[in-house]
Amino acid sequence: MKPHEDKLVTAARRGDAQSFGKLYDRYVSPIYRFVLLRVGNRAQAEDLTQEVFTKAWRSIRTYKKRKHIPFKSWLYRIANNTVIDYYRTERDHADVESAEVVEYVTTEFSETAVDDKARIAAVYEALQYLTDVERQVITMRFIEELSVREVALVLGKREGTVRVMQYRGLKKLRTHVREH
Amino acid sequence: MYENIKTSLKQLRNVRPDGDFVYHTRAQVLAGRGPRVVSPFLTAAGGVAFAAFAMLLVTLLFNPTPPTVSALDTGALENEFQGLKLDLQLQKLDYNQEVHDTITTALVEIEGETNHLNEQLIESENDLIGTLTASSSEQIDTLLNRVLE
Repeated sequence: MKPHEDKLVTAARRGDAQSFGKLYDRYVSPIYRFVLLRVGNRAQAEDLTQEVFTKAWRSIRTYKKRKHIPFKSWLYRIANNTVIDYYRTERDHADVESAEVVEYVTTEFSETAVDDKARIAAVYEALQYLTDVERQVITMRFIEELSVREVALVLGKREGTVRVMQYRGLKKLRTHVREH
Repeated sequence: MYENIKTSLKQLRNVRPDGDFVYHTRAQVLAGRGPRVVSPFLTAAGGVAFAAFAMLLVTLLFNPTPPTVSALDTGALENEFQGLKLDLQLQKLDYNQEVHDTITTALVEIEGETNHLNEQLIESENDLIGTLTASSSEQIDTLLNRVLE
């Protein structure tokens, strides 16, 4: 954890809302992306992102640096559990709106070449063929650029397992992108 | 091929939430219930209370004969009560005997069966004692003279 972030976390644990606000500014986009790529629905992703930060703010005192878990991993872990709870309770309503999300994703790249946009859309669609845990690993490793250790901490798995998931995920992505 | 995929994945990083959503959610989250901050004093007091409770628990767990408060020990109380009852009965018996003796003596005296208060009798007894004493002395003297002879 960066020293500045360390101070923010310490202050937030003492109840300083401003410090937690700065942490929110830093992580709201990554968490939103992480959730969106799991649920495939923008409105639902927004609701769940809000839920993640509400939970984090309420329970920030339970975050302990002694366990050597980076704050980022702790936050992703909350996000992961929130999505799991969402699937558990509202699975029937969790229709993946791939087309909508693909359109949304590609509009973000209005300056990018048409071929690139098509490839990004293909990769996004290919992500839907991965198992949930493989998608989590690929998202965290290559979109959010978390280290293998950080991903292992989020998922509660060994680093070796994360590497295996990463390999399988990339292989599946390559297969589906080729078919596209 | 993997590199292309990784590059495409990296470009997904540009996906960002709506600005309004970010702004409003921030305000809502921070207006909500934050962490419960406990004062150090309460933490210390809680620690002391917990330590005391733990010590009590350990004492009770590792003591083969659990400590009992004598005032609450029913067995001891029962024994003590029985002893007390016996003492009371003995004291009552002694008292009754004493009363009985006193009453008997008083009744005997009232009925006139005692001789030590009769003056005439006392005087006659004195005479008898004097006679006996005198005759005894004479007899002794006579016997001594015989021995000397």
